[in-house]
Amino acid sequence: MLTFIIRRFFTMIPILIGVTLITFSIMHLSEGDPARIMLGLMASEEAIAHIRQVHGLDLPLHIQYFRWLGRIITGDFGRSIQSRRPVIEMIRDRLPATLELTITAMVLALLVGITAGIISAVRQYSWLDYSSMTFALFGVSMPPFWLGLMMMLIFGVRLGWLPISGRGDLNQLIMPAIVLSTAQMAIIARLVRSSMLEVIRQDYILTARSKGLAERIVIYKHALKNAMIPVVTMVALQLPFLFGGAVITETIFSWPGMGRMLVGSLFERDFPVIQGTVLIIAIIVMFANLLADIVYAIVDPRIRFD
Amino acid sequence: MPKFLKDLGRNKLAIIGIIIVITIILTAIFAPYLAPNSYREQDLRARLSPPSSDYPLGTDALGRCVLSRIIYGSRIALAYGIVIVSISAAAGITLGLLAGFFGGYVDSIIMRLVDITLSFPVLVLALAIVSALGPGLYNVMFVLGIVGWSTYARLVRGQVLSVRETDYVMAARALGASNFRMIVFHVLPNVIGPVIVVATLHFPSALIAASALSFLGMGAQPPLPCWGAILADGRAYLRRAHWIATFPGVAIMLTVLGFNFIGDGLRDVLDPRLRKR
Repeated sequence: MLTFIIRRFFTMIPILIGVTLITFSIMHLSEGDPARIMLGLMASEEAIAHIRQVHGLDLPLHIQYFRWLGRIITGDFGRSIQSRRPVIEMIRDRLPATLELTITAMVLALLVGITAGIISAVRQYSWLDYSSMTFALFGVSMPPFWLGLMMMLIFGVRLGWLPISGRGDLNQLIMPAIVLSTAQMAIIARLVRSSMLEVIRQDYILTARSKGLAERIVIYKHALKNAMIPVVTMVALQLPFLFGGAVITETIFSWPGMGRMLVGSLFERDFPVIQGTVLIIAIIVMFANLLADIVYAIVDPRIRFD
Repeated sequence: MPKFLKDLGRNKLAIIGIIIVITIILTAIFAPYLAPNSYREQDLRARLSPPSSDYPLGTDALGRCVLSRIIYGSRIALAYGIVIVSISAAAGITLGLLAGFFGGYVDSIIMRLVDITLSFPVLVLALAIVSALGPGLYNVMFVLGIVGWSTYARLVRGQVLSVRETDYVMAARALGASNFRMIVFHVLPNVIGPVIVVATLHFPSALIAASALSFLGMGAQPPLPCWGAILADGRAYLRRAHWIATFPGVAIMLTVLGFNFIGDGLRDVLDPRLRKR
């Protein structure tokens, strides 16, 4: 198992280099002088010269990249052009809010999605199956920004049950977490249903039943364990979408996370903040994928020997 | 009629999907005849008015007809989907074919590129790149097209690996067919089925991503009636004029549902192994 983890860890190195290359290039994609773009048309020549010097923008691109990479490795993500604060500090302030939202949404999606999927599979073609699969179809089709606004309108504005923005209270987490989890919930429910239906038809389930085991034990102990294997992969594949969705959800509900910070920095073209946020999110996704692969190897020992 | 079309015709949801999608295509084509008003003309006396006979879905903050804007917006929505899917599919299929067919270093490099792309949330990467290139309809299409190639590449590569060893490809090789000829005439036709399924299901997610970028102000710029942007306009008037945000969202959802129905149906027909139980 340890060899598997070490080997998997080393495959991440070229990917990490690629991720830093892309993140670095973002600033240089824009037409014209990045220093002028960052400071705007009204900026003085001295200010532009200063930015050029601080970011080393006069140097050849590859030297700029290695200098930038060297600073990133030591945790120096530069300073925000707007607020002048170190980017790493801004990320440190915002990251907990984003993790709180995304983890809550993932847990919610897993709880509801798995339950709905099992019920649908065990009671195939019942009204419960039809209603949860209809819900799942709408769940994957609703644009999250629209769902957010509609929930705000109904539960915040009209009924006044839930606060429509901010963070701090558990009440304030409910709507953003539901909005962010809806699509994942639907995807997981559909997957668990089809995976369970496949497993239930296997011979070992027939054996378990013919041994006289209670249906509950057959479903939860024998079937569910095997039906969960594709779900692990799916959860890992869905993580990037969750972070992408967080950008939208945080913006709608004024949730003070990294996504909202990213959106705020886009129009100002605050490149150090944009690069820092994008890089940190990509690294989190990479490590989450590593974790998912390890979990996968634990639940399905065949993987380790590939 | 080909067999798969007959099978598709038996799938009720796929039929509903086809009807929805055809309706949207017709709406886009005949927008000038269907829209009750101009999509850009402002009637400042009728600002934020609720649905009425003059303005069936109400008006926005500048007194523009929401229904007409949604009808014209269907053109942008379809353009988003078609262009994004085409760019992603063209890039992904080409790279997937190369990786699968040549293997070795070519394969390793392309697959590492796939891993790198998959480490970024599409929306986050697209937002960052569009902000550097500048907001706008074409930049959104281009960027979402470029970042969406990896799914196609992975799928096509896998298919090619299994097709490559089949007898008919071996036979073509033995007859002295060039690599190009083998890829285009013998391998590509055999991997295209699953690609069509993925493309049909990519269309709705591309539309949602493009609408999300427009919602955040990065997409089509005013006065172009992009559904995501109309929704964003309605956000500030949620209390006073909820219709501005409500109806474009319904339009996006219906379009997405339509394509999802077709995609699910096609998957069942083209790949019986994945058929829903």
